[in-house]
Amino acid sequence: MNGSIAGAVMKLAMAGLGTHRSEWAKAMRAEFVMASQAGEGLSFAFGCLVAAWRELPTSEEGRLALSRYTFSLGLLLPAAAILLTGLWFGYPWVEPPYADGIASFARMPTGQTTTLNAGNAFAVPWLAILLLLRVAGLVLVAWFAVEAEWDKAAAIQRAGAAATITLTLLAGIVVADFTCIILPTFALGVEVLATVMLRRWHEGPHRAMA
Amino acid sequence: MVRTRRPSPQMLAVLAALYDQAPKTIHGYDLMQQTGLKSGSLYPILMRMSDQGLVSSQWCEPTAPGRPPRHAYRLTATGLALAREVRADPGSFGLSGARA
Repeated sequence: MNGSIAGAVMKLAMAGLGTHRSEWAKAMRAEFVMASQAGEGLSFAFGCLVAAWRELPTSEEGRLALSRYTFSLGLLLPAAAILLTGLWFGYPWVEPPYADGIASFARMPTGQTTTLNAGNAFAVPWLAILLLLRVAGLVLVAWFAVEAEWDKAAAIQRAGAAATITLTLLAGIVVADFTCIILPTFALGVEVLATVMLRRWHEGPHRAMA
Repeated sequence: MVRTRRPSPQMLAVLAALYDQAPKTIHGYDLMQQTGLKSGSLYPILMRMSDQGLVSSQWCEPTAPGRPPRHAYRLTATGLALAREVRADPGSFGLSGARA
């Protein structure tokens, strides 16, 4: 378990170093093998991650990488955490305590019945799975954004958009309350817009590398 | 590149370890053990020292099958001169002992 975590951390560190320090990334990777054999792989990998992050602001490529980390850790993963927390507390198929707050903020009528009856309760597991897929999609987009794999990130986002549209339709038909899809839709909009802007910045004509 | 700032105590520790090893090379993990520095401190220092022309590096063939080639470090002529300077006058580098 520790070995696989250490391997993932090491991969993140190597991605952070980029081509500017690719020789150093290979050097760290080789020493990581030695440290792992000595049982110090995890602390070594975290150290390399710290070293990679300390190097980021010193080069143009590093600053681009820093923007990708900020985007993933500061926007995408918190959005995934918010959706997951909502899921944990019964969102969106039972009347959540914050639904009226969201509706009020969005200037929508409040106090609508969102409690499911026995007839449409069948949809609950599918809504849960859809929202879980959205959360998993956000985590994947965060990973691909860090690695500047924009095509893969876009593919996941298309699937996320499809899941959100399906969630909207189900919410409209079964739950009869659109307040419950405001959050996933808002998250999708911000995520897609931010990814497109970040990708344009990375692939602009004056940039030599993504 | 010309050195413009006084070396940090961690960098002086790396410098001393490399000087003790000279003219032989030393691997990153061994350098960590000799200096007591973590990888998060050692590698930025090595990168700075390399950028400043104090350290040179080379790839060494693996000693056992299945292991990757390792990076080995040694002081350049500039690095050796700085290490001798530190050892001759540690006080001016903020060191109290005789050893840099």
